[in-house]
Amino acid sequence: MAAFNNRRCPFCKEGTLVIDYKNIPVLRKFTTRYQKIKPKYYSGVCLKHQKKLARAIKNARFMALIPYTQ
Amino acid sequence: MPLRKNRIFDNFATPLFPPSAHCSQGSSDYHLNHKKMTTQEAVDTAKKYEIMLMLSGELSEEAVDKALEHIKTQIAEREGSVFYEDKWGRRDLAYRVARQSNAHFVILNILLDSEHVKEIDQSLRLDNHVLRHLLQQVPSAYKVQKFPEKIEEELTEEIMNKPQKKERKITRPVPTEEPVTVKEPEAVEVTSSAEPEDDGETEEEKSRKKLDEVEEKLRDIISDKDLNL
Repeated sequence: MAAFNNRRCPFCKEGTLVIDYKNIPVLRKFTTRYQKIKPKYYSGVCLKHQKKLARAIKNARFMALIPYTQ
Repeated sequence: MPLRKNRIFDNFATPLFPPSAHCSQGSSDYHLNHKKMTTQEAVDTAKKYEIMLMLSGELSEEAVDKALEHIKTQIAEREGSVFYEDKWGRRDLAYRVARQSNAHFVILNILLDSEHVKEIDQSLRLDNHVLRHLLQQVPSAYKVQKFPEKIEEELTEEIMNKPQKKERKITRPVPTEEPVTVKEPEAVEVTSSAEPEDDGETEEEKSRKKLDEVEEKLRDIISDKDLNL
C-alpha cells in the first residue's frame, strides 16, 4: 500500500539503523500537533523503522523529554 | 504465599536454593539455567549498556556529583566500568515528575556483565535521588552522540534571518477628485439654432440634469398602467 503522496521512508534513505530516543528534533517530526505518533501512512516510514521510532518516542516520553499529550 | 518462579531470586547475591547437581560451574550458572543460555564462559562477556538518569531537581550540583559517585561505586563493585559520561545538567521536564518541574539528566555508558544488570536496576530503583532511570542494552551499530536541541536553535536562527515583510501599499486606484473648474460663460452671440450651451455648464449642473431625467423615467415606469410593480 503506497503511502500518502508516494512518500518514501526517510530512515531507509539515510540507512539509519538506530533511532535514538535522545534525538528529540527527529522524533518531533513524526509526532502530530498534539504529540501523538503519526501513522506510517502519513509520514511514509516503513514498518521496520516505525516500530523503532514508536519505541524511541515512548522512551523519550517516559524520561519526560517529550510530553505524552499537549 | 504461592510459590514464585526462580527468576525473582536473581537479585539476591547468594542463591536461596543450592545449585543443582548437574550444574558444575558454581553459583553463577544458577542464573543461567532458566535463561536458556549455554553454560559456556563466552556467555559472560561484558556488554554495553546505557543508563539515563533523571536526578531530583532539588539537588545542588555537589549533591548530584555525590549521588553519581555512589552509583558508579555500585557499578564498579559488579565489575563494570563507565566509559562515557555525559551530564546534561538541569533541564525542564515536559511534565511534572514527583511534583518537580526540572531535573538533572545524566547519561552513563557502561560495560557490564549481563548477570549484574538487574542488580544495578534494583539499586537505581531504590535510590532516593533518582526519579527515573532507563537502562538499555546498546546495539552494536550505535555510536555515542550528543544531540543538539535543534528546535530551539533553528527557531532563533529563523527568526533572526527572516526577511521582514514589506508593508504592502494599496495599489488600488484611488478615485481622485478632479478639481471642479468653473468655466465662466463665454460671451457668445445668441444664435437661432438654439444649440445647448454645454460649454458653459459645470459638471454639477450636468449631473443634476441626468438625475432629473432618471427621475422622470422612473415616474413614467411607475405610473404606467400596463406594468405591475
